[in-house]
Amino acid sequence: MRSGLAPAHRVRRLPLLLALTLVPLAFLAGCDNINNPPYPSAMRYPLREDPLVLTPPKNTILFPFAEPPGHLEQTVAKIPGIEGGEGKLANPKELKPADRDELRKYLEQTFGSPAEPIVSPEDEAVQKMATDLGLDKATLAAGSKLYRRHCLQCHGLTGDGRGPVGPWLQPHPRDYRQGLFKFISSDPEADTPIGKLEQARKPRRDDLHRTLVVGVDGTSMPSFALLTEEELNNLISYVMHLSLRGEVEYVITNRAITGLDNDVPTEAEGLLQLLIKRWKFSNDNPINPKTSAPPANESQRLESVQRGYDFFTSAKVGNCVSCHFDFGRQAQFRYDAWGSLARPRNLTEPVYRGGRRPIDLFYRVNGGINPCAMPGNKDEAQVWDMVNFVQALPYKEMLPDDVREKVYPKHHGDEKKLAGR
Amino acid sequence: MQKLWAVLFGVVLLGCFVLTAAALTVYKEQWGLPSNIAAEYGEEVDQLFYLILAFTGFFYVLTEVILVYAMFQFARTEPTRRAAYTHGNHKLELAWTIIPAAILLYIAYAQISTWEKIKYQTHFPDPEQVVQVTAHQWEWRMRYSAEQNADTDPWQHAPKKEHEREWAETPEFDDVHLANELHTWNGAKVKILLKTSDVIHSFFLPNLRLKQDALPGKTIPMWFKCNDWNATFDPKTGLTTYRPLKEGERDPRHWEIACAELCGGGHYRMRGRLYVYETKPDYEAWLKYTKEQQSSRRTSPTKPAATE
Repeated sequence: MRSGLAPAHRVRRLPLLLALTLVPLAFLAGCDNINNPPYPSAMRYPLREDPLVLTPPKNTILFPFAEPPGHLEQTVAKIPGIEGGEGKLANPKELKPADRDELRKYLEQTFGSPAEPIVSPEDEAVQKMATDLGLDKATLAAGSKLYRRHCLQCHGLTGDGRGPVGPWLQPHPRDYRQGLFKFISSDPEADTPIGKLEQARKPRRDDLHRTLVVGVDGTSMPSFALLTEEELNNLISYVMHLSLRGEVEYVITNRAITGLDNDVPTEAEGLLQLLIKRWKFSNDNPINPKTSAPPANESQRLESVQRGYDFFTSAKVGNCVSCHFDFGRQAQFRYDAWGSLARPRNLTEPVYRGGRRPIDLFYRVNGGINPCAMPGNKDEAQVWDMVNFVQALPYKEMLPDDVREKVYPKHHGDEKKLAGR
Repeated sequence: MQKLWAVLFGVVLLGCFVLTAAALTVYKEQWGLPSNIAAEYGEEVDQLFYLILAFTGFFYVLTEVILVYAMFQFARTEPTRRAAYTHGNHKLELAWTIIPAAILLYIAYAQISTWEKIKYQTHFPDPEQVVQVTAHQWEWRMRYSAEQNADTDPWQHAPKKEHEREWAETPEFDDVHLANELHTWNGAKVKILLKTSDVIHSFFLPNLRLKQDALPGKTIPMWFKCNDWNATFDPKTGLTTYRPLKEGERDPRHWEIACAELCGGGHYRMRGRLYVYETKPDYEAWLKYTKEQQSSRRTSPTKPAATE
C-alpha cells in the first residue's frame, strides 16, 4: 500500500522519467542521412591479410563438389598442397615492414579512404583518362555511399567478396582485388596504344551496367534496375575504383615479396597508370561482330545449329565438351583464378550468368572467360554457329533430329558415353 | 501523482486514436490504405478490412477506457484500506465469451464470398495474360510469354505449350525475362504462376490487395484485374515512365511489389514495380521492344560515363 518513498523522492523521479521518454526523439535529428549514410570519415581501407592467389591449381584437377558454405579461406589455403596442381600462393605477412608501410602510404595517397575515395595518378593525361572513365571525386563519393548500403554485405569493404554474407554464397561474390572479371565485352584483339589487351582486358562500363541492371541470373547477385541511372553510374565508378586499388595492392605486394626493381611508390605509380590505360582502352574497344544477322529461315538455322554442335563437340575447334561435360550436365568443379571452386555452366538450362541475349553469348564464346580458363574463338562464323546451338540446346524441339538424339538420348546410360568418359 | 500518470496515459491513447481516425478519413490519400486498383474483389477486401477494424476498434476503445478509468479511480495516494478480493462473475464471463465468438463466426461467414473470388481456382476467369514469377533470394524474376518476332527471329519456333502449367514449368525460347517488374495493361485478366527457387517468399501486391506465399516445390496460381493505369511506354527511348498526375491527384501512382514472408537478409529490399499500361497495344509495344532487346546480336555503342 505504501508507495515506499517519502514525498520528496517521488517528485524527483519525474524529470528523469520525462527525460527517458523524450531523449529518444533526439535521435530523429540527422534524419536526412539516415537512409544512406557515408562511411565514417576516419575509416581506412585495411591492407589485405589473406593469401594472394598467384596461380590456381590446373583446371584439369576436378572436384565433385564445391566447398561447403563458409569454407572459402580453407579452400584457398589448400591450393599449394594439391598434388600436380602447381598452384601458388603468396603470403602478405612476408612483406618487409618498410615495404608494407610504403605501400599503405601510397594506397592512401592515391586511392583515399572509403568515405572519400579518389583515383589520382600523377600523370595529367592519365588523370584525364580516369576522369573520362567516371573516376572523379564526386562520383566516387556518391558511389561509396551507395556501395555501403547495397553491396557491402556481400562484396566487402575492399571489394574482396568477403563481406559478412559473402563466404556463405555459392557462387561467391566477385573479389575485385585481382582486377579480373568474368563477363567482359571488350575486344582482346583490338589494337590499342598499349598493344593488344588479350588476357589483360578489363570490363567496359557497359558490362558492369548490365550486371547491375540484369543481375547475375542463377546466383545471389540481384538486379538493381530500380536504382536510378545516376546511382548506377556512381556504383560502377566505385567498383572500378575498388578494382584498381585492389589490383595495385595485389601486384605490388607480390612483387615486394619476390623482389622489386624500384621502390614501392615508383612501381605502384607505373602500374596504376598502366591499369588505367587498360580500363580506358577496354572501354573504348568493344567486341563488334561484323556479321549479326540471325539465320534467315528455319533450314538455315538448323544447319547452323548442326555446325555449332559439331564445333562444340569437336576436339579441334571448340572442344567445349571437354569442360562442359555432357553439355554441362556432368561438369565438375575446378579452381578458378580467385582460388574458389567453380564449374562450367550446364548449358541445357537456359540460365546464363553473363546475360541471355545472343550478343552476350557471342561475347562469351568469342572473348572467352579469362579467369576461368575458358578460351575464346576468333572465327566469327563459328562463334555464331555455336551461339545458335547454345541458344537452341535447352529446347529439345528446336534441335535438329540427330543432335537431339545425341543430347537427349531416349535410352538412359548413353549420357556417359557422350561425356567422353 | 498516480492520477496524473493515469491522465497522461489516457491523453496519449486519445491522441493515437485521433491520429488514426484522421489518417483513415481526412488524410486518407496520404496516410490511409494504399490506393486500391483491384477490380472484382478490391472493394470487398477493403470493406472486410474496415468491418474488422470497426469490431476490433470498438473493443479496443472499450478496453482502454475501462483501463484508464481504473488507473485513475483506484490510484490511491494514501494507504488507507485493504483491496477487496473479488472472484468471478459468471454472467459477465459468459457474455464476453459468447459475444466475441458470435462476432468471429459472423466475420468468418462474411468473408467467404470474397475468399472464393480470390482463391478458388474454379472461379478464376480465363486469363488474357499469364506471367510466371519466380521468387528467389532476393528478387522476383518474371517470365512473360511473347510472340515470335518475325523481324529478329524469322525461323520456325517450337510449338507453344498447350497448357499454361506446362509453360510455367519449362521455359520457351520466346519468353521475355525480367527482374522485379510486372507489366500489364488496364483491365487485363492476369494470371500469375508463382514459384520459388529457394525458400518461402510471399508475392504481395498491396494495391491489388493480393498476397500469396510462394512455397518451394509448388507452382501456385493467382489472378487479378486492374481498373486503373499508371504507366506509358515510349518506343523511341524504350523507357517506361509513370503517367503525369491528373488534376487534384495526390497519389504518385508508384504501385509496388513486396515480399511478405521473411526470407533472409535481403527480405526488406525484395521490392518490385507494377506498371499498368493504358491499353493492350501499349503493353504489346513494350513487350515487342523488350523482346527485341533480349534478342540483340549487336554491340551497343560505348556510353560516356555520366559524371555530372
